[in-house]
Order: sequence, then structure tokens, then C-alpha cells
Amino acid sequence: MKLLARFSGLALLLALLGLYGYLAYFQIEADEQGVVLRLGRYARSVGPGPHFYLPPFELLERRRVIVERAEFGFRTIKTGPPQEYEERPLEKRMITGDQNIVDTEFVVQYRITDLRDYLFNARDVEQFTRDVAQAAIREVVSQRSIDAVLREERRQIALETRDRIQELVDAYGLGLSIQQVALQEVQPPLEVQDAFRDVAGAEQDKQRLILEAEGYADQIVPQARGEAEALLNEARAYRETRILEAQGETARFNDLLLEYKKAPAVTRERLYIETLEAILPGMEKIIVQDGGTERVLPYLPLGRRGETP
Amino acid sequence: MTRWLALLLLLATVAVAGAFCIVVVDERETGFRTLLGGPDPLGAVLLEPGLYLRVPGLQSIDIYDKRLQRFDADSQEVQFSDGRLMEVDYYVAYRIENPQLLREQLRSQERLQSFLDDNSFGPVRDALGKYPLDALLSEQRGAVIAEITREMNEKLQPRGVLVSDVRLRRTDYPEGNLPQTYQRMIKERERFARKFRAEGEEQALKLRSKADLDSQLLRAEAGRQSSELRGEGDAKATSVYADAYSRDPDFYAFQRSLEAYRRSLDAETTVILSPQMPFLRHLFDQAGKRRATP
Repeated sequence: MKLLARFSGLALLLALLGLYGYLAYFQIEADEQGVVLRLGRYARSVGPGPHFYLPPFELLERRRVIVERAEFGFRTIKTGPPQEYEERPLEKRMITGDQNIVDTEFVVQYRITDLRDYLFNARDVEQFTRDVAQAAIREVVSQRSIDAVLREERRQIALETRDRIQELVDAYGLGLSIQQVALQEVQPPLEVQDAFRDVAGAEQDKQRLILEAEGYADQIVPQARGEAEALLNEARAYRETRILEAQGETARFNDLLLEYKKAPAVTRERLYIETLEAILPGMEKIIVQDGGTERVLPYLPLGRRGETP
Repeated sequence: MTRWLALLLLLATVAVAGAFCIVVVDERETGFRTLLGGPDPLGAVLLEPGLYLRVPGLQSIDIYDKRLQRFDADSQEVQFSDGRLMEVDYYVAYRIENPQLLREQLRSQERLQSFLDDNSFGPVRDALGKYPLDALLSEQRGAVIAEITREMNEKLQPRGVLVSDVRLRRTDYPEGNLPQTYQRMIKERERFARKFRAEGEEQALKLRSKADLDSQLLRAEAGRQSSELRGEGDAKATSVYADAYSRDPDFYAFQRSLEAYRRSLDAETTVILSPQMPFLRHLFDQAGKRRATP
């Protein structure tokens, strides 16, 4: 009986110990971090894996530390597909350095890197992050012109905003790491979009005008070059022709002269007669005695040959 | 049996008493302990987290959140030194630094909210009013914020609250001014559009006229060269002719004249011939005897 009582006491003790062990055991999952407080005071941080703590003197706080995202300028109503969004006009309206308005929608991705800081340094960390992100992107945007924001510097803006948010988050000790800032839609307000589009159109027009002019130049300069070469070739042809003609004619003349020199009088006579022989046929001929010309001439139907039968 | 019962009763009493006597100040919290209403001489300000004892009825402990907290202000219209009216929306990051001062002067955290509201807008409006809007859109922003923070702390630190940051979340044109702003933006865009188109025309004109110039120069140069070439041809031909013909100018004149007659006299010509001319002398000379050539 006494033995039984002793054994039952031991069993009870073991059972109590086992129960306590069960209560004291906990497991941190791969996507979690934990913090143990002992009598209210921070004791230790625990990562993924099996752990023990001492309730009720110790208290465990655990949080998932996966990547969270915060949306600015819009909210996803339905993750879809198809997705549905709701606009937040005030949230996306920003003023650029040249005092224009640009609507910027963006997403900030962050995760808890230090659960101790996250839990104990600030209250309402998510809302803080939203505040900080909005202040940061407006600082970055306000140092640029609207053209810079809309065009070339989008990547740069995202990076700078990320760094700026991280800076402020670190200053507040929020225990977060900003993974990425992704600019979604960056555009001028609806009311002025047409004007912006027209500027883009004007740039296209400019390019088009220049291309057309270049096309014109590409067409007429080669044409002119061709014409110039043609002109030169014509002139070359003329020069050669003139010289060759001259050489031909003088060669003939020289030959003739050679013959003429042998019998000048006869040759001269022959040439003369041959010429007249060649040209007189077909002509109207009037033979008048010397000195009779003055008397005959007035009666001749000069210049009216075609009409005489 | 009665002994067991007595033990249980004792334990229960201790537990209940403990619940009344023990206060745990969490890592997130700070406390203020009073003794009979006044600050506890054993230590009123409980900054460190841990286990604290109190005698119920005599002592009480007020707990406050000591983490960094945010006060979210409503957006307000502020006039900048350049006269521009803007709607600003800011938040204040603060923490409770001294629970005793807070407890004595503001009592609760809820009342702190309205106190923050009262005391943040003034400094924000005053500080922003000293600068033009451009300053806020530039590197000077940091200095403006430091000034606002300093002014707020002047009022809040004596109440146990430390403002660590005031930051403008949004700076907007008031809704009423948006149409003008849009108009200005549109005008500016129109200017750019006109400029781009004019630039296009400018460059196109330059390119076209340059092309015209180039082609005209090409033609003119070709004209010059071709005149030279023609001249060269003429000169060479002339010298060839002169060389040949100067060997017997008289025969040349004769021969060339004959050639010219062939070319210039045709069937349309009427000639008046004289029997005396050498060509006809045989026609009227009955003797038919030879004569010397003329």
C-alpha cells in the first residue's frame, strides 16, 4: 500500500512533467520567426526549428515573415483572373519638381527581417511603412521634372524610392527590409493626357519630317550627281568629236592639198566646175549679159518662185 | 483532508493576491507608479520592462506604449511664402519618453492624440509659411522638417513626448486649383508639341535646302568642267585646223568656199549668171577653142 502510494506519486509527477514538457515545446515554421519574453522582458529570438520555453514565466510571440506587399494608388479587389482594381486618386497624385502633376501607382514589397525590432520598436508597423513609402516616393518624384518621371528615369525612381524607404524604415527601427519598389502605372492625369499624347505625336512628326527630308536628299543628290556626270560626258564627247572632226577634215584637206600641189590650175578648175555641177541642177538660172543686170532685175519675180508655173 | 483543503485555499488566495499585486511591464511598454495618488518614492517611472509589485489600494501602475507611434493628421491647407496655397498631409512619429510627465499633464494616451493635433498643425503651417513651395520640392525639405520637429518638441517634450519625425506624406494642389493646374500643364505641353513640330520643319528645311544646294553645286561644277572640256575641244580643233590650213591659205579659202556653196545653195536659190563667167565661157564661145583659165 505504501509502495503503491509512492509509485502513484511518482507517476503523477512524471505525468505532470510530461504535460509541462508538452506545453513548453513549440516549433517555429520555415516562414516564421519567434521572440521569447521572460516576465515581459525580451529574452531571445528563435528561428525555424524545435524550441522550448517556460510558461507561464515566458511568453512566445511568433510572426510569419514572408514577403508582404503594399499597394499605393490602387487596391486589388479581386486577384482574378480577371483582376479587378480600384483606384485611389489622392494616393497616386504627386507633384513633380517642375510643379506638374503625375499619377503614380506603385507596389512596395517588404518582409520582416528582425522580429524584435518589428515588435518592440514601433506600433502599427504596416501603417508606418505606408506613410514612409508615400513620403519617400514624393521626395524622389519632387526632385525630377515630369518628363524625367514619365520617361527615362522610371527605373531610377523605383531604386531611389526603395533606398529612401529603407533609410526611413531603418531610422524608425521597424525591423523590415524593403525588397522592391515596383512602379506600376506612371502617367499624367486623365485631364491632360491628350496634350501629352500630342507631344508624343509631335515628336513622331518631327522624326517623320526629318526622315522625309533625308529621303528627299537621298533622292535628288544622286540624281544631280548623275546629271552632272552626264553633262561631263556630253562635254567630253563634244571635245573628242571636235578634235576628231578637225583631224579628219584636215587630213582630207592635206590629201587634197597634196594633189592640188601637183597640178594647181587643173585641180582648181576641176573642183570649181564639179561644185557648180553639183549645185546648179534644180536651181532657177537666169543668164544675163554683162551690164544688163540693172535692166532685167526689176522684172524678175524674185522671192515668188513657188507661185510661177 | 482539512489540511488539503487549507492548502488549496492558501494557493487560491496567493494566486488572487498575486493577480492584484503583480504587474508585468512588457518590452513594448512603460509604466508610472503612484503611491496614494503621488509619484511613488520607491521609483515612479518604470522604464524597464519586467515584473513589478504593488500594494493594492495604496499603489497603482499606469501602463503606456513606449514604442514609436504615428499620429495621422488630416490634410490641411497651407500657404507658402510664395503665396501658393497647398494641401498638405503629414504624419508625426513620436514616442512616450516620460510616462510621469504624460500622466501628470495629459493623463491618457487618447488625450495625447488631440494634443498632438492641436500642436502639430501650428508648427507645420508656420514653418511651411516661411518657405516657398520650391523649397519643399528640393533638397531643403530636410531642413524644413527639422524645423517643424524642433518646434513641436518645444511643446511636447515638457509633456513627456518626444517627436522624432514629422513628414509630409502628400503635398497637393487644393482640389479647386486643379483645373488651372491642368490648364497650365496643357499649355506647356502644347508649347512642346509646337516646338517639336517646328524643330522637325527646321531640320527638314535645312536638309532639303542642303540637298538642293549640293545638287545645284554638282550641276554647276559639272557645267564649268564641261565648258572647259568643250573649250579644250574647240581650241584643239582650231589649232589643228590652223596648222593644216596655214600651209596654203589661198587653196583653203578656195576649197572651203566651194564647200560652203554646196551647203548653202540649194534648189530654192535663183542665180543670175553672166556669160562672161568662167563656168559659161565655153557655152558661148563658138570657136570652142581652149582658153587659159581665168
